[in-house]
Amino acid sequence: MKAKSITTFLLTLVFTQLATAQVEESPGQKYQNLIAQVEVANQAWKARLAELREKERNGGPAVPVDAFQSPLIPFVAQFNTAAKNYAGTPDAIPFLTWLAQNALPMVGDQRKAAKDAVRTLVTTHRKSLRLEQLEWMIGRLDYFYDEKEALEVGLLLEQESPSAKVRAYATFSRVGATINKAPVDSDEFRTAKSEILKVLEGVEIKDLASSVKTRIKMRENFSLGMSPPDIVGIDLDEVEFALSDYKGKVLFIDFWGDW
Amino acid sequence: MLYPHERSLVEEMKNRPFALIGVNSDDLDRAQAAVRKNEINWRSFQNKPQGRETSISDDWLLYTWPTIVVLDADFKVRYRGSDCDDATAVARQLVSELDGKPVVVESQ
Repeated sequence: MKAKSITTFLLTLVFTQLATAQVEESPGQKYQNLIAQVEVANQAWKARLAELREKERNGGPAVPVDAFQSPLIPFVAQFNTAAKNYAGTPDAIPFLTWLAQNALPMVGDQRKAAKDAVRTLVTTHRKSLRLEQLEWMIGRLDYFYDEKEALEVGLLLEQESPSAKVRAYATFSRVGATINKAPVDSDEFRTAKSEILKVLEGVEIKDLASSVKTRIKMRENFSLGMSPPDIVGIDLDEVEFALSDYKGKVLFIDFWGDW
Repeated sequence: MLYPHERSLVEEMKNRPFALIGVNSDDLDRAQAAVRKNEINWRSFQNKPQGRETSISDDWLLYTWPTIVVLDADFKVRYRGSDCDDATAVARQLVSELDGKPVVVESQ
């Protein structure tokens, strides 16, 4: 009986310690565990979808709509809870970043969690290098804030972020609307263009750089009131002609295809 | 398809300072076949004919199809977009300003 009591005591001790260890899971472990679970769910979802598609191809029923539903949805609440548990500390950053990157295309509470996560990251954690992963979200702060707040938050990022990438995206967030809308011969447009090109010179963000440069080129060369390049060559009947031969007439040019 | 509208626009603007020009994105055989099949009565270029290094749409910085561009008599852009009715209205207004004839208003 005595030996049995000791065994029971030891087992209780082991379970208690295991439970304590579970509670004391570090933030890093917590994050890695969640990511591992997400990966498992993702693989299972892909496999099921592939199987259903195969059945459909072979004459079976159409893939049900719910089969396309993201397997990540159930995890949003868990990442959100973890982010709240570590709120205000750097430990929250990975959870918030995951929410921003994964839950934004969702709807309802999940989408709200993602938007809140972005807002928390760009304010409370604005000095974190991890913000680089938010990319376009920082370039479009107006998506997360009203115009005045977006400007204020963006300016703080431009001043305080240690990342050149984050600062460049924040500059784009501030001047993007001017690049897109202001008259190309206005001082406003020229200043915005000069600012963003200068910022982009010092940082490697290919997508943003090419998109900004194309937009500027398009606005400067092909806005209303400007002349496009001439079209010279042979027509579909293989007769040579130049579009500028039609100068003096109104031209209705249709870019078409026999789709 | 805009072909019927464009055919009637070409007809409406006959003998007026107006030209409708197409820029076609298909390969030459398909484009020529489309011209015959759809009775296209306006001149068309290939967007990227053989031997040309860049496509016309790239040179003109156009990234969506179909797109309509209306140029005035000074070769300046007065409309750029994909709304055929808006483009037609701009073209009619410009032609009317050029030849002094009234703008045609389509009956509803």
